[in-house]
Amino acid sequence: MSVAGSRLELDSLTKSYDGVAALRGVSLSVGEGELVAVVGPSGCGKSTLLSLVAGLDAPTSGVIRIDGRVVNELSPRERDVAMVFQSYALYPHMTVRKNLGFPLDVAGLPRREIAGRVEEVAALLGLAPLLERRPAALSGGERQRVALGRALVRRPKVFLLDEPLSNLDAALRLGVRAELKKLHERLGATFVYVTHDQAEAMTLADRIAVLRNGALEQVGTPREIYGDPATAFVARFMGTPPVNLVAPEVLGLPPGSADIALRPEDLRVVLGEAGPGLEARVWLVEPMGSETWVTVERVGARLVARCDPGFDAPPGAPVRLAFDPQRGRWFDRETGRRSPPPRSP
Amino acid sequence: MSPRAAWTVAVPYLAFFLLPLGWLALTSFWPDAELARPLPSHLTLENHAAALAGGGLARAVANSLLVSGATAALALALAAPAAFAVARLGVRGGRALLAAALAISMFPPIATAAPLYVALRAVRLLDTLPGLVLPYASFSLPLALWLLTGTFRALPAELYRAARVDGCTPLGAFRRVLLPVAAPGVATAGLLVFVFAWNELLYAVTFLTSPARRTVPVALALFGGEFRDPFVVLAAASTIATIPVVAVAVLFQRRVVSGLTAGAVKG
Repeated sequence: MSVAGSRLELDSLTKSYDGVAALRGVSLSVGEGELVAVVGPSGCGKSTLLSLVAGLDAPTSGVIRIDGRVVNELSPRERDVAMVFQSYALYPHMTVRKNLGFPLDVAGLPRREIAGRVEEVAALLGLAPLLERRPAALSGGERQRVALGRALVRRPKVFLLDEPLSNLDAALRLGVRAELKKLHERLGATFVYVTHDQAEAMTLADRIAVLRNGALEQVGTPREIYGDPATAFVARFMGTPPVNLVAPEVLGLPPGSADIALRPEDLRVVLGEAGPGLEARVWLVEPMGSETWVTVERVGARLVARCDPGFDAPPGAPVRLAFDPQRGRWFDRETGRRSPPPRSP
Repeated sequence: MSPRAAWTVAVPYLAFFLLPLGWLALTSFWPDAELARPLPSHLTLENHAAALAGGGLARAVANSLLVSGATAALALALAAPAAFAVARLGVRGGRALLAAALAISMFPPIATAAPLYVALRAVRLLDTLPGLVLPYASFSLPLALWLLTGTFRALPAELYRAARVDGCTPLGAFRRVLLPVAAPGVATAGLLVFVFAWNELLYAVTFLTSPARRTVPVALALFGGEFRDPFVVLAAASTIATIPVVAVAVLFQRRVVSGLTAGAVKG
């Protein structure tokens, strides 16, 4: 089973509720078969964005196009867009079979074709043994797959996913995340995937759009977003443990109007008082198994570094801190925007 | 509350309502001649036979079933879409509608009886069962509207949104998804409206004149004049007249407690 992907374009989309702006001029283009993750903290407008694309809500201004056609005035049904909801929103009075077939039934497809497509999707998602059950008799992961199946069965132009994994427990989430990625590869369909979890966005997306207070901060591939963030906000939002964004003097660099951001993997921490690098003291050691996160304190600031799994030291232990200034990204302290690295003296 | 504490509250509470009903039922089996004795020497079905004699009571029960059923159906048919619109569609003036409905339900029925009499005479519905259904439905509409608005508000918002994305029109989403899921709430509202209409006396006795169109409360109220010593027969008639309501309540209760919303969303 494969779905021909469609092209989705958002042009200067704004949305206000009672004068309060939820989206401010969002322009985003999602290519055929592309998976774009929209990330941002809660309340940033991600879900509003999906509602507008689905046609559940009308934009205050701006244009939505699917395959070049303006769909602003079209009802959800005419847009041919499927959506997976955070709560799954399964129909509790219907069996899994009826749930999966519902969009086709509404569209008036012949019963035989509905049955065939439901079987196909059920086989794809491993739902065949559950077809006669009601949603109440399903586990969280099973419900999630039914919600996904109800979207897939339509073979829509665009798939919208609103935090589809956030109601799953941690163990299940990684498995379903991988399944989703394989599914997207197999289907070749166009996905808009909303999440507040930057790791989900990193692993799944072809491109990531970072939304903040209703405006796009940056759109780019996961590597660009992570390695070349356009703003301090993007730098801080992506990556676990979070980026170290500090005044340059903390790292022994000449002071200026810009702060420097260094990823934890770009900081090297060596135990001992003597040696090259800057002096610092251990503040916290967090073993993660495959690596250890070490937070050190230096001139009142705290910096976190990714270290070898074997690293161990008591709080207060003296260490030497080393880094390559070339790896640093600079951000204007006032605007939060990227600024060129200051000239070396 | 522990189960034990719950029982100590529930048993007196239920006894308060059920004991008079039980006494009524017992009285209906009491031989007429032994009414003055503390307990009957034997039980008899003579009173029930006497109550049903002539077919007047059976007729009244049939009339009441018809009127109450039609009232519940009409009230739900009007209130359910309205409640859905107020709760889900963000209709302008929804709150004002609810407030107005509440205000209307505060009218004392006696104040409206005379104008309604004139109105029903004008449209030639006086002394007809439809002439009773219309005012009943309009007076139970506020209750149904309030109950159902609460029911639809309590349903997860994403259920409606999912139905819309799956291709339903707003009305289609209401009919195919929200209404079936709200069935317990709809059943509750229907039951309450049914019982209201079943018990209503004032309009029934005012608007109906033909004995053949009497409803149960009217038939019971006018029972006294037709028999020499009607206490036990009246008890029998009341008991018989209660059975249909209890049957309807039990029937609806299955729906009410079925908890159909389980599993719609997480949890």
